Amino acid sequence: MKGIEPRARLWLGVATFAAFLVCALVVLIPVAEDQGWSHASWLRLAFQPACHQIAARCLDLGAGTLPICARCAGLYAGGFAGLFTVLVSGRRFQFRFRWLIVAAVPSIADFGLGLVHLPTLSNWPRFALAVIPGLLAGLLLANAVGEIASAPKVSNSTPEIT
Amino acid sequence: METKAPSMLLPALIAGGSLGFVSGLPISNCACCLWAAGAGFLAAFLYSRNCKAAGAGFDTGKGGVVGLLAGVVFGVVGSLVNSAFSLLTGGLDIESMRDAINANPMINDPEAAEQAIQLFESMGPMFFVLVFALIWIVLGVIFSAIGGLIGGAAFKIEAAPTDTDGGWSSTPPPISPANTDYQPPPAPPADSRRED
Repeated sequence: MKGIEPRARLWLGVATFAAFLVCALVVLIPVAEDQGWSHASWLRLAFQPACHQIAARCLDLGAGTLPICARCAGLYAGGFAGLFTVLVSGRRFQFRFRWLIVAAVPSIADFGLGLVHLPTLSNWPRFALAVIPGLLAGLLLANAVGEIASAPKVSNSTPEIT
Repeated sequence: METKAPSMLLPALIAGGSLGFVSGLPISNCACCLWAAGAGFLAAFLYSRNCKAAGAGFDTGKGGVVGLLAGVVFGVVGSLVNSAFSLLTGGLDIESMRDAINANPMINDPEAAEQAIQLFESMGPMFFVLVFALIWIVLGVIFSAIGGLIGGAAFKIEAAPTDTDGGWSSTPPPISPANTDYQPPPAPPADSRRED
């Protein structure tokens, strides 16, 4: 584990806040619909290209189905958790990329079972399985944001030859 | 002299075009955000291989940029393919759209469904195609850039030293083992000083 610089932490905070906004929007859309705000249904369309939005495969937190499926919700929640972990701890978690693939294997297997019409997991286990690769992807994304933010600026000035 | 970095266009076109085409098919609408992120990741992988072959460095910043380019291609190709399928299958007719909106369990509010149908009838199908394409491109760019950043972190390559032509370099050349056995000349003996 390595520490992160203040400038990298600032940009990491921006990325974490953006991820928080997306997760909050996902949770708040059915709540807003439940409160009678009809425009919230239009916000569901914003997620349409990013998810199949099959209602039977979406989590219901009490106010109505979420605008994305359980697997996508797990990925988003895990991604936010990964970014938030690095932001709060101030540490960069270095690991090999193959661990992300290993973490995604259960979700890929569940997806494959669905393709061949075999019984698949219910929504909450599907969500839980997707949180793990989402978390690792969030940690990798935090590393990437940190590296870009802490990269030295390239000077365009021509060196003097004396 | 720095090694010239290879073009980002070809990896972006290959990754964004191929995965955008697949994601635009009506049979592959599951986990579409992963198709976009995969396009960025694949573009970063292809570009890192090109950089490695050219002896240039590859870092997270370049991964993000090539992922962003792939996202633009992904969004354009995906929305075009999806719109073409909708046109061919009659999915953009007024009646088909009305049935689709009424049958969509995601639209819980009947008032919102009625608003959508009225808007579709007044604006025409092309308005919906354009709005949908715009959303597709924006989401494609965001997710693909994220995939490119992750690919940049995964496939990072340090630039090879290229100062072989005697030109200017921002970094000193590495000390070769042959030069490390340099011995400074011995100091002159104390009694050899000239006293003028």
